[in-house]
Amino acid sequence: MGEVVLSMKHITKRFNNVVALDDVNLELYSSEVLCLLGENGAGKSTLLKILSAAYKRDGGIIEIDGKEVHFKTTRQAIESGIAVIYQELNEIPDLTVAENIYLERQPVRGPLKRIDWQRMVKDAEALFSEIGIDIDPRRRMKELSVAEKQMTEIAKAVAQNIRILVTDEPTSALSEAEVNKLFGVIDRIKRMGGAIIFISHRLDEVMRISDRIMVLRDGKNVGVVKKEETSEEEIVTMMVGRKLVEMFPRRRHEVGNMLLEAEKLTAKGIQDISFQLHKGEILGVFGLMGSGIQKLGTVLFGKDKWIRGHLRLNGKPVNYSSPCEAIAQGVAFVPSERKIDGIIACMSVKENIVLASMTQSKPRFLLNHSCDRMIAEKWKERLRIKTPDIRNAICNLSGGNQQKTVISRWLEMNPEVLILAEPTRGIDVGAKAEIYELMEEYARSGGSVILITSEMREILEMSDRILVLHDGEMNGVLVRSEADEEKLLLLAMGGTLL
Amino acid sequence: MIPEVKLSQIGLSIKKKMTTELTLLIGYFILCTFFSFMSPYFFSLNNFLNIGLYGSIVGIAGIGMTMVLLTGNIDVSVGALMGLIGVSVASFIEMGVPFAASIILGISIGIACGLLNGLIITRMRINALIATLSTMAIFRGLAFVLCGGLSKIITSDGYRWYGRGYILGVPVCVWIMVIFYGIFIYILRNTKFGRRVYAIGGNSKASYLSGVNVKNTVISVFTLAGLTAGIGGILMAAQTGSGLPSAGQGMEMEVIAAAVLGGTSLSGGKGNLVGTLIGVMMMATLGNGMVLMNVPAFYQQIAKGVVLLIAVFMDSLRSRDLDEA
Ligand SMILES: Nc1ncnc2c1ncn2[C@@H]1O[C@H](COP(=O)(O)OP(=O)(O)OP(=O)(O)O)[C@@H](O)[C@H]1O
Ligand SMILES: [Mg+2]
Repeated sequence: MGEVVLSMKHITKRFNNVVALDDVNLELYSSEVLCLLGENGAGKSTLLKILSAAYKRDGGIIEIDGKEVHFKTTRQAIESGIAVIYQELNEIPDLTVAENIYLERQPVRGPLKRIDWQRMVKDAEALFSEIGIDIDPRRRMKELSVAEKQMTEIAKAVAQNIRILVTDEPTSALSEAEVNKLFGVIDRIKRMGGAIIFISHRLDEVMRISDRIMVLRDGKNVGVVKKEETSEEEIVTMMVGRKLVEMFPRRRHEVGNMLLEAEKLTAKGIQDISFQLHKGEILGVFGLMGSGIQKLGTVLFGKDKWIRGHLRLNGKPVNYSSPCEAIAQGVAFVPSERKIDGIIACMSVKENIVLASMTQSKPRFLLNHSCDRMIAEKWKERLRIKTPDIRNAICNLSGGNQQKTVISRWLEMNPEVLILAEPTRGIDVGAKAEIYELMEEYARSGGSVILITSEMREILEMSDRILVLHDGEMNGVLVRSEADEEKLLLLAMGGTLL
Repeated sequence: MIPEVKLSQIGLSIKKKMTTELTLLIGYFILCTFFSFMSPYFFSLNNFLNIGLYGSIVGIAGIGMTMVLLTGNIDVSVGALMGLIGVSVASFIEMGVPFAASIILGISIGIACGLLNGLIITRMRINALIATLSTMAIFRGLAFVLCGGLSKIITSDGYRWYGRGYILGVPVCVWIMVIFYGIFIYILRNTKFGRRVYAIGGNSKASYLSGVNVKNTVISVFTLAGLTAGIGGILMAAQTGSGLPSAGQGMEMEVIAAAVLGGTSLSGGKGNLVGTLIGVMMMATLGNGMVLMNVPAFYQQIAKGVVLLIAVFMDSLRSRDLDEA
């Protein structure tokens, strides 16, 4: 750890009547990784957006190398060496990786200042090898995975001589292996003397990568601790302000009759998937990226068509070709890409919650405004959705609270089969526990859940049985009692159990 | 220095509290005050009824257009459709069809053409601008074919009453407009259909995944746009007392402009009919006031363009506020 490169003092920020940040202080040293932790809506993203001048602060001072700065635009922030990488990346999909990195700063040659394409690619390659990234800079941006895009974004920051790198939940959409790669890159930047602010809701990652941990709660500083001097437990207590008794509430209970049966289901990306789902059962679906687990979810929900195979619900064959029909049969689906597939940004929290159940509710054609309000208030309370008013636009909520809103949309439908794709992505520990509790409660009352997730701990703790997919095909089913991380990974990578 | 800062802060807090409609109403009030000072004829009940009469056609077509825009689509065929329907109705009446039946036939043509637009866009998956640009040419061409390029005088007094008649001292056109706005404001606010229109414009993918039948909703919206454009065309023919094949030329732009002026976002999901109605009235008042002030026609065009620019600029200011705060 070196000297202080950045200090933010007494930062305050209000949105109308919501106080998002209240007298927050932050110090960042060179060659360190500072993790910012806090519940959904604690103000983490807001603090970073103030740093990058995306938001105007209402009060406080920002100093870089001891000198006060006043950024008016994000561009000025970049020029003074601060890069913020948001979860929603802003890349230009049809340009190559190299072009994206050197946008507006292309190397030129000759009197006409033509772009020197060859040098651009060479520079990019050199840059990548310096920080340990393995991507061909000639590929188009849109061909890259989320992780690769993220690393390109980081490389771009390094190319701009960035000394302070800020990443807001970069890992929430990444697989284990990709997280490892990303951490490798972060580590190199740190050794090169850079300072990094890192946000994540995954505590194990935080414990791995961080040097110091700073906790925010309700827009206020709770404290800063060195990693060596703390434990996961202590951090959680700091975050939620109370002791979290149990994370995973799963208790044994009998499963009922068979509800859903898939027989040799085949679609583009998945082959011959067969399984049975019983009432009151939580069926986990696990697989690495590209294994087709997400596809299975969208096929079961009627978004993608299956070409061969059968699906039976309550013993009767079903064949729906759109989500609309699937919903009518009692199937619900919480998509993994919240921003793209989940929320309707300009609509209110209330309207977002009642959107799916609206199709079935009475009266048939008219809205029942008072009933809608009651439903929304009910879920706001049960899932502790943090917003002063359910009439607020959902885009003003923090990421985790948006997710809770999307989940309530489907729980309100009271479905027979609830398909959850990465339901706790970007959700804080407290809310995670609440969502697990809800799943458990829902299963105990006879509902069936298909849990599609790449988070191992979650799937091991929550599911009765786990279906493992590899390369679009089934590669084994594990019963809860015999499942462990090793077996899961082995099957997911295409191996066989002895 | 210091008072300047305070002033801008006050401005900011006022801006935050003001809704789109309130801003518009204040703008409208200023406009009226200005014209009242500039022309002695402006501020009278009669003149306002005139403005209403002039604005009613754009107003009625604006209902369908607003809904189309709310879903994130656009319909540039409404002007041509108005022309086609005016000529059709005039032909029906000429052939001896009773005027009431002619009106019903005319409205049916509007609905059918709107449905056609909707089907082309959803079933053939063609971008709405391109699709309606094509049907615009088709509708306009049909109008010319139907009457051989000449205008048809409508002699039926019963029919012309819709364009020129009064009930309780208020033009029939204005009554019709008011009734339609009442119905559709209710539909957009209180029906599931209305909610779906907004949802699709906000995020059509997420709406689809939440069980909204996106295609059917978009088809319905275009059909309604055909309906309202049809009624607009019928009233236009009734006002002029003739079926002109070139009638309604450029009307689509006026309708879109009024909706945008009223706060409807071109990218969908934001806006409402009250705003459109105020937008329509503003445009109509501007035209009327300038005529009373004897502003030459060319300058009127320029003024309308400038007002629209200001409106769109204010809209971009508002959405910028949302992005930042
Ligand atoms: N544009 C906005 N308008 C109004 N309120 C906002 C806006 N952005 C954030 N807020 C509010 O400020 C608070 C802090 O939000 P922020 O996004 O910083 O949370 P966060 O700590 O990043 O949460 P998460 O872990 O869920 O991403 C929340 O209560 C949120 O509702
Ligand atoms: Mg956040």
